[in-house]
Amino acid sequence: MADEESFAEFYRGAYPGLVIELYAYTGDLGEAQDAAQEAFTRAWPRWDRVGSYDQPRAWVARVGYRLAVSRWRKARNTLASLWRHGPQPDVAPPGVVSVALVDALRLIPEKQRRAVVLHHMGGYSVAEIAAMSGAAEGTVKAWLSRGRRRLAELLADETDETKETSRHA
Amino acid sequence: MREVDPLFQELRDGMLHHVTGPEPAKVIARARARTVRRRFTAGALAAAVAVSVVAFQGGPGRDAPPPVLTTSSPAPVQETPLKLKDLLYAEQAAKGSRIRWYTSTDKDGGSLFIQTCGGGTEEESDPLGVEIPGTDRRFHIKYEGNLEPGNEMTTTSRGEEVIVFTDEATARRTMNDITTWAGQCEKKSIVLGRPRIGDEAVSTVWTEPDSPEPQRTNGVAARQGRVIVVYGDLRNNGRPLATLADHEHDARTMVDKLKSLGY
Repeated sequence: MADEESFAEFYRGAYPGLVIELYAYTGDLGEAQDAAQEAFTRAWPRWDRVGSYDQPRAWVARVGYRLAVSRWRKARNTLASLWRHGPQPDVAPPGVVSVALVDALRLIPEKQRRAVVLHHMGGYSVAEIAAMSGAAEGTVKAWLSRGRRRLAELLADETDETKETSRHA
Repeated sequence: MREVDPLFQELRDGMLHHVTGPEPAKVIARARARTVRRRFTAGALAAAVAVSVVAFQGGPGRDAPPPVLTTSSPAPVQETPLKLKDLLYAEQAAKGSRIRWYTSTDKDGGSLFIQTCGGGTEEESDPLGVEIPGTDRRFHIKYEGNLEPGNEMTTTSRGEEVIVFTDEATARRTMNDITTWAGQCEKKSIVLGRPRIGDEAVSTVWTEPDSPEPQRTNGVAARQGRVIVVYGDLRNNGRPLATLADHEHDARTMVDKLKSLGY
């Protein structure tokens, strides 16, 4: 029972953040919810072990990202996901700027995108991302640096295009 | 140059309080239902084996001598425990870039590299995406093609999966499931084949239906005794990393290796 309570507390605290991270990573809210729920479902049978970690959130995030990146699963589960979740849940749609950010994230390489989202949205340190990705810290720093630079360029282009469009309109 | 930090903050703040998931009790119930189902499957298998033993013992009479066979069976070959290094891609993965190569011995190894479109339930939408009931050991090696230049449209991957089941009947049943679920894909999207590899095999060539930039997968699953090997690749617009013939060749090679290891 104590286990259930600690798991429930952890789940309530970590689930929304993971969904938003995975949304930023995949660009698909339904897919993000699906992967996050599956990650927590897999955490429960291992909660004795996972719950004792310094960062159980990192374990669930690692599973969630792995599930989200599995396009095999995505192809197979499109229909299943629809009938499991039903219509899109009552989540406030992200603002225009956030949509532009998520669109821009989809245009940067996957490793950079993952590092940027983990760092800026998940709040993970470079060392933690390195451990989660199985990469050297220097590599993670390079992913972050390149990813941020490319994102800034893409978002600047977006802003210029928007200005251009409104001027012509 | 635009500062990106505040944009992440805005995204997070804008959505954080609006995201709600199922109650924790529902997540726990789903996990428990999954565990019960696995135990039930394992129990049913054990019961089936016990019944068949009793039936055999009851046939000719318990005191009767064992049946005489016209030919003597070869002595059973001792299986050599399979290790990750026995996989065909293991050496290349060990030498290759850690960014591109991913290896795992986790029984809960993610989806197989072969296309299926059925078998899910409300609690578990992807029956091959979690630990498959009856799995004894599982090995997974995956290569990611062009990460650096790529967005998803140009991502490619290729992989090798080897799953050792607790017994041959379970492996046979899993092969049957894979074949059945692959047959549930839209007819126009999939071509099924039955190559002659090992004890039995199935191949799938799948193209995502009704998509302007369809995902494409090729895969082969072959069973040798209680082991299933799967070779496959995936791409959208990226350069194909392998052909179905490559996968069939690899499956044949691995099956021969398994035979030599006593499987």
